[in-house]
Amino acid sequence: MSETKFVDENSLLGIAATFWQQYSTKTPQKLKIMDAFSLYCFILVIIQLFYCALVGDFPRNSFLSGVFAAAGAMIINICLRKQLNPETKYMSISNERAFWEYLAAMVVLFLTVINFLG
Amino acid sequence: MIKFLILILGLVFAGTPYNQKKVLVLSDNPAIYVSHSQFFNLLSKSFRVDYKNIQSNTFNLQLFGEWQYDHLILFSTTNDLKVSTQELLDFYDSGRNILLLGSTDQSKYFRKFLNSFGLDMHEYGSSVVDYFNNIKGNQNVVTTSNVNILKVDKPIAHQGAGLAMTPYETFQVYGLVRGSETAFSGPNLSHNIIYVGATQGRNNARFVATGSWEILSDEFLNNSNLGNFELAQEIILWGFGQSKILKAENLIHRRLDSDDIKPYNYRLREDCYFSIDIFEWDYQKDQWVPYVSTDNDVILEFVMLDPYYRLPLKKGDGAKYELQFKIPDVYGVFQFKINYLKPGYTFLKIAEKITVRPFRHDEYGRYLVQAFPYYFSSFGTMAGFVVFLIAFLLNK
Repeated sequence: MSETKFVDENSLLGIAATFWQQYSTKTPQKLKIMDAFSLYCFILVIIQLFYCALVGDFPRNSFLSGVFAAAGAMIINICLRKQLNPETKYMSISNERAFWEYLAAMVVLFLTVINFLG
Repeated sequence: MIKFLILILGLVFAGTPYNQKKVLVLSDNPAIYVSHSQFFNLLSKSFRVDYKNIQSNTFNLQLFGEWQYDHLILFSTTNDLKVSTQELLDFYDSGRNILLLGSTDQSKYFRKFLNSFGLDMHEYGSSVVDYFNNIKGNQNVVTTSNVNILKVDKPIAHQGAGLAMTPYETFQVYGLVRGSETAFSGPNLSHNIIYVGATQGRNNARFVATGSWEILSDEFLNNSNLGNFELAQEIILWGFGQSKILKAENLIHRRLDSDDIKPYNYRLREDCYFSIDIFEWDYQKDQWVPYVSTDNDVILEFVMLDPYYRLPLKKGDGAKYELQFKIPDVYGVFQFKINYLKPGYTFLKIAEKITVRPFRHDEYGRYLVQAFPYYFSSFGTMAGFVVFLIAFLLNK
């Protein structure tokens, strides 16, 4: 109950530390895996935008499809995470149904991406 | 016997071709038939000339909707014509040429008529005076060597009033013979005085006006030191549509590497070949000869709302003007436009529409090196997704 506080709780560092401590203890394992995937996709988006700022978006279709693959995957993942978390659930759909919808959305996204990639 | 007579008559009348153009000469002063006889001789060599009195009722410019004459020469008078200005302008609009010999005491009818063509007459009763460039010290008979478009070598004499137009040449109104530097007329000076002015309408009809009758009169035409005789010949040739007439035909556009003429559409960034034949009418040989432009100035515009290219055409064999270029990186409906407005020549305005389509879905470049990060990220997302699925579903 009483944890030793090494930093002031109201500073920026304190907020970050509190957040990290709460996050790593309170969220279930499955949600953490989903968060990891979302973070990976986000990093991919950042890398691509950085590359585009350097070199320009010459094959614009390729640029769009690369960015949208990662960003879209991240968004769909976040939607599934919202469904699976009982606190942030919206619409009364069962977990299995949400997962099937997730798979369908990902398939459509990847089909489009491959089509647009040229 | 009858056949022999018919043969003789045929040979006689072969010298008078009845498909020559007809010129109507209107004046109210019968003295001009004496004082301008040389000019009318020149005219009769290539045209059939009708001489009528301006005030008479015996001529009709138009009969039952058909124009009776092909060209018109007006000697200006102090009274109005019975033909309205509108009818004269309709005559001009139909493509027929007019030569107006004005004088300083011409009526308002003629002054207003001149104004329709962008020219203006100097004040009533004025005349051009030049103390330096004149004949025999008579400051009223002025000479000039400032000639545009027409080819006259010797100085040209003029006596009478001058015309006025803008101080610069426009693309339609030309100062064919401008005053020399030392000439003036009232408050107007030097290069702003026009002795012979001309207007070419957008329908390529030509209107030539002079400030006085004397510039084409016998006393100047017979003087071999002056260029008035050549000027009269040039006015008859240019003003009545026999010289400097251009024609363009045989427009070809195709892809550079194929032989299909005028394909259905082009694609972005394709090589295109354009060619056109431009001819000029040669009145001596009575045929169209290839036109040679002096300074590479036939310009092709590739336009969609704004010109994307404006390139000079290169002269090829014969009358061909051709160009190879690369269609720009924009798709849409373009036009090949040629807007050739060389002063003195008929206007060449050509527009040909083509469509340029964007890349088809499979015509984009494939496996470009610079798109590798995007390829990697797309497939990386999918790989990551598969890994995530395995981790997610096998997790307890």
